[in-house]
Amino acid sequence: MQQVRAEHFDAAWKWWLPPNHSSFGEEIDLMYIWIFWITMVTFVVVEGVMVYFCFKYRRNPARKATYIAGSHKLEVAWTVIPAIILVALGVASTNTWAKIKNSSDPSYPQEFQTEVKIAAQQFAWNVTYPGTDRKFDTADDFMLPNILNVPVELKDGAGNVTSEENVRIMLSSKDVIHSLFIPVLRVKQDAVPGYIGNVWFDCDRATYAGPDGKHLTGDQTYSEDGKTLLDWEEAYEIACAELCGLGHSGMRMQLKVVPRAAWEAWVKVKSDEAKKRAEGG
Amino acid sequence: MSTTAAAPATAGHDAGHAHPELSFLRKWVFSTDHKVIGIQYLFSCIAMFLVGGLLALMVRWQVAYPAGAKPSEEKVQEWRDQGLSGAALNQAIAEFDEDKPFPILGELLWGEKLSKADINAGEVGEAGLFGNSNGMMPNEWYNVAFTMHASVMIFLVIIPILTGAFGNYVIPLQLGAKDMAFPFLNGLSYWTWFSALLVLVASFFVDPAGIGAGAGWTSYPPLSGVVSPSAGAGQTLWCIGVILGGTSSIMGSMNYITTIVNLRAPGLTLFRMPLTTWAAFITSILQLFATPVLSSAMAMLLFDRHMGTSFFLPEGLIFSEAPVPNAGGGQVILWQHIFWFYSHPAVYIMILPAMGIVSDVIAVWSRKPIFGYRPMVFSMSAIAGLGFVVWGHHMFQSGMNPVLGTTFMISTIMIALPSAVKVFNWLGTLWGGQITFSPPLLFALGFVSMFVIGGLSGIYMANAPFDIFIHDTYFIVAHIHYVLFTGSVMGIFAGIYHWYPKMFGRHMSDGLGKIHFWLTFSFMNGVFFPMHIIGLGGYPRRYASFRSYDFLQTYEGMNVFMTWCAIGLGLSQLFFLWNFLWSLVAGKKPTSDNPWHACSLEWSTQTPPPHGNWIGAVPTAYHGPYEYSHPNCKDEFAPQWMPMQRNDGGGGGASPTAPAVAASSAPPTAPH
Repeated sequence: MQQVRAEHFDAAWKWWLPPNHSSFGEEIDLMYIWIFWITMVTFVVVEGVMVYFCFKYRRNPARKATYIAGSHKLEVAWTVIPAIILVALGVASTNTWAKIKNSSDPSYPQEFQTEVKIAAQQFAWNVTYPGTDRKFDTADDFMLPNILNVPVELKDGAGNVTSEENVRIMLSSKDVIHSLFIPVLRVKQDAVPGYIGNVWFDCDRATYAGPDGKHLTGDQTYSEDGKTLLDWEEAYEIACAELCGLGHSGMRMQLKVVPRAAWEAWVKVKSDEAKKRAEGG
Repeated sequence: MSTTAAAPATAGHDAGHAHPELSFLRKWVFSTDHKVIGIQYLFSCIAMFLVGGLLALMVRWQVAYPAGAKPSEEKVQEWRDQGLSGAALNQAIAEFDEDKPFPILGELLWGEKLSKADINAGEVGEAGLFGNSNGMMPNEWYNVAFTMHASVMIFLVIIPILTGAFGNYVIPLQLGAKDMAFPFLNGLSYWTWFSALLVLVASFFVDPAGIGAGAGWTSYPPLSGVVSPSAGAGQTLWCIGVILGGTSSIMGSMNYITTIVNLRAPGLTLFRMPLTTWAAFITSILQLFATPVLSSAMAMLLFDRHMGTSFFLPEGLIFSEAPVPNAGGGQVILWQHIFWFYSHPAVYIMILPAMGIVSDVIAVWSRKPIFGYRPMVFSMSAIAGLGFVVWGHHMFQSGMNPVLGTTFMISTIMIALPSAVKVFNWLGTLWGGQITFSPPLLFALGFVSMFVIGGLSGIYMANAPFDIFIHDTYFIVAHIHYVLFTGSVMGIFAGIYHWYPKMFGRHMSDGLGKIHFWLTFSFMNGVFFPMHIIGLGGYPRRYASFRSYDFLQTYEGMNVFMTWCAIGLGLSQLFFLWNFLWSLVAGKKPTSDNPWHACSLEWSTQTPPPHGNWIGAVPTAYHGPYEYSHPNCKDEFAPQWMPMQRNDGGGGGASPTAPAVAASSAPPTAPH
């Protein structure tokens, strides 16, 4: 875990935000930077004027206060100018919002390379993988608590990813409301009982650093027995963001973003186990 | 404009009418006098402010020092260097114990703190009031602490002190009314609220497991809607308490609206009302429309919990491996719509009255008319109106239709406009003034400068895409505290320091007031500002412990810093408490009925005002409430209750120096 943790806090600090590894996360962060500067300038100007007035117009018996009861022009100016800025901010963010959340919007991804189901409960995330046949509700589905592994194609040894692979999560809850929060991917969606929510993300950086501290590259195969993947320590953290009861702050899940070959080998092992269990039972 | 009925007959307050002497109980306890009721609210709310503050400190302590600290790598290395190894090292690690119970109360509530070595040896400590967890707050109690901190501060401090204490005390006086329109309803409203207070306090103690209401002040079902270890008997009492509080609010708001519409003094048109009264008027309308919705929501939640309905419980709900029998057909998100339909306006219920108070205080202490009086009224109305169509911004990540999310984003962003207009107008009021930095003005300036932060941080969250990241993190905790603590509470203090002489016929100490201000101002920023930063780091709110997450470890130091600032903030309030209580008996008596040389009608009567507010007829309002430093006025200020004395001799009427007040062209000086 040390490596991801170090990255989280040292290298990639961007105005106090943690590093970002999703494509829409960049748009979100850009929005933040815009708002940050707009609000900072406003803050400094308003507080500056206030402090200046407090100093300049402090009580002075030699002077009489100026009787000013208002100014129509000023009222119009300080209504219209902020209105333009605020509406522009609003309009600028509608596309990003639709792309992330609105499945009927054209910018919403049409294809998902990986699909999983997550059913939240007090106080765990039950992740169901469709298995090698990529279909749910078949014998090779398998479920793991608190482990979300997703595949990517690697570009280089630094863990960068070649093509965007979209992951889709069908999110539900068995008992109370939970919320799936992946800080480094800028993902958050409530898991609501009685309702299946759709979440998607892509991730541009793998979590796996090999035994030598380097990431596997795309053309390296990772066959072995596939089980080794579970031992990979590096992971992104997923938190529960909606109060769900007394175990709320311990409802943690690991997200491992790993090379596709390795992931497929691992899925195969897990699917075979599941099939064996289904046949045996 | 029309003058309202002069000296309306309220509860037999005809001029010169002699009252039979009331018993102590009727005069001071079950009173129908708006001033007594206002002071009852004031004292009760200050007491509850201490309770809510203590809960906040418990929350902060838990966040900074959750149980289960492991020895750091450096510590282990130190042990190694000392020659420990093998079993001895393992024992040192196993017995490492840095758990810090909450000072004084921790061991009383959660049992004696024993060392790990003693526990391993099988010793059992003495149990506390809420069981035995080695002096440390259990997670479920942490949930109770923040739930009740919010509930107490919202329902038992900020709303009642603003609408109950100031609303009651100041509105009739500023209106030139002899009392509220419905004095009996007014008393009933206070006692209904007081029963809400008792029920909410009782919620800590009713559950056999020692757990109060712990589903958050938002109490989202199913967590709150099913009887479970996270939501036991305490949760039921919480719902009842909130219904009672709401009922009191509804009674109060009807009373304020009726009073303001019907009982204004002759000449006091709506646009001659001070902004405190305007704010109370708008707030009351908000309350009257929003609160019944909350009360119905609470009733539905109670039915779900105890009577087998399933308004909020969908099919297939499984709690602790067992199906919930009555679940089926309900909508979880329905609660959020209903709840926020009240609770977003509630935020404005908690800020608008403070805005009104701050406007009056700034005008008086900078000797200026309010800059843009009408835009101030219109912007408050706009905030109230828009306040009803922004509730969905609390639900961006709830699974609500994302198209609705866009709509709510736009309406929410628009509400920043009237708020900005208000800030600019306050600056305009300071512009060219004669500013005296008295405690009320300091707190009012504290309000304006900090409300700017609370307002601007709202823009981050109104932006739906960025809200994905900061939703339910400490960023929202920072935002709400900048609005409600550094905003509303500053406004409340400004009001208390400003009207104290009128209320109690004594002055508070200026020096202590200034110490109180500067300590509060510094510590509150120390508590709340870093919350923005840890929120931007993704630190989720309502976490009993950061220890399970690697990415939260880094914020430990900041959390400890915020906690000690919170303790400093708590201790700073002792200056206020001492000042408030000591001045009741030992404060300097005001030399005039209008010590601040203010223009609005509450300063025209005796100090403190008698039963019925004015001896004889109520005053007449001749002009607006902010005629300070008028160029054509002979005096430095023109009180509302007498015609303006013009430089050229026009205007007529008596000089403001007679008969009620002693005015001079010198600015008011604060007594010490």
